[in-house]
Amino acid sequence: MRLPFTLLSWAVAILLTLPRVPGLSRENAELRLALTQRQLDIAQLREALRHAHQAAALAQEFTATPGIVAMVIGRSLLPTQQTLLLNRGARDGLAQGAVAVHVAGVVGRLTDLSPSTALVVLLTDPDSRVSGLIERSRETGLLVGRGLGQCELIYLNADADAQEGDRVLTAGLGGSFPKGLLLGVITRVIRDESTGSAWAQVNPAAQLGRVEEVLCLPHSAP
Amino acid sequence: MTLFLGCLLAHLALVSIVASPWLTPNLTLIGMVLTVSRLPQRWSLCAVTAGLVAMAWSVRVPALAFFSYLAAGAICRAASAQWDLHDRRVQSVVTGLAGALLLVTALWLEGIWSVGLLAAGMVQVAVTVLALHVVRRLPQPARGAP
Repeated sequence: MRLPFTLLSWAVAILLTLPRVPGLSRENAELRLALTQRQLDIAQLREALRHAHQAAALAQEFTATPGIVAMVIGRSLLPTQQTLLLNRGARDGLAQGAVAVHVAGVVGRLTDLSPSTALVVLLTDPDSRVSGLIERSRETGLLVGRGLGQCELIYLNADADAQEGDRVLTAGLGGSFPKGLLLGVITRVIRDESTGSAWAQVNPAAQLGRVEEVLCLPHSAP
Repeated sequence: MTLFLGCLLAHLALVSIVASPWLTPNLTLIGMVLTVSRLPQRWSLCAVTAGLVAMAWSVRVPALAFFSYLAAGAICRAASAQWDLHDRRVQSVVTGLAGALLLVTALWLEGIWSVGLLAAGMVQVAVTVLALHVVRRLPQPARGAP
């Protein structure tokens, strides 16, 4: 007995829907557009949230020193010159020689400034020179960039207490870099008995090819 | 010029994505070679634009980046005058030569010469020549179009 009623109700429902059919495709297109817009909004909000988290993490990591958070807006087209372009410049209070750090470690040093941008020379650039200190043994050396994604800690004695996995920090010598910032981790130690010297390959702590935000510490930071 | 500017912008985007600069093909150079093959008279405009953009990133010998690209542009122009620069083999040779010129002058004049950097640079030149063939296959503006 219920089947005819069911069929009848379906037929009525279809008849009631038919006048709306021409507008359905337009409505569907509008909904798809609205959905795409919402998805874009969500993506932008997620990106803003991630940026805020990164900035908060940087600020928390370096609470003692006032700094300016800057975003990386470009990388060098020249592979021999490993630099980053930041979206902050002299107008924002940045100065030449300021140190760019990431939550993971030191990124490099600001060299060229314009009113609204700054150029950072990365640790891996062949011109980069930072006095380094092995955290465990307190041996000091000079961390130099080699242009190939790694650095070398040179001027170590042949019997220097350095081994794979040792963390290298800034030594603070020369005053350019504040003492105690993480530079990288030793991946290999090479000793030359004939010259009485040794050097170590160091992997930068910050993934320099993937840094998106940096904190710029003033040159004279403690 | 649309092709050249597209390649330049793609190059700027690509260096931000690829972790190692040595594995990034020099799309600016590719754009210059392809543009000069179509419009040889535009070589100086391409070379000057590429040189000025490269200079913006330079922290050592900024003039070097500019004049290197100018020399690379002159190589493209000379090649287009002597040979058929539409030929993919000629384009490959010119891209390789210009890429090697950019590399050697940078290593030599910046004073950072080393075997490791030379090897990495040769890898980049090879990647650039390979990328040339990929870019050639992409839809491009009609020949003679500005």
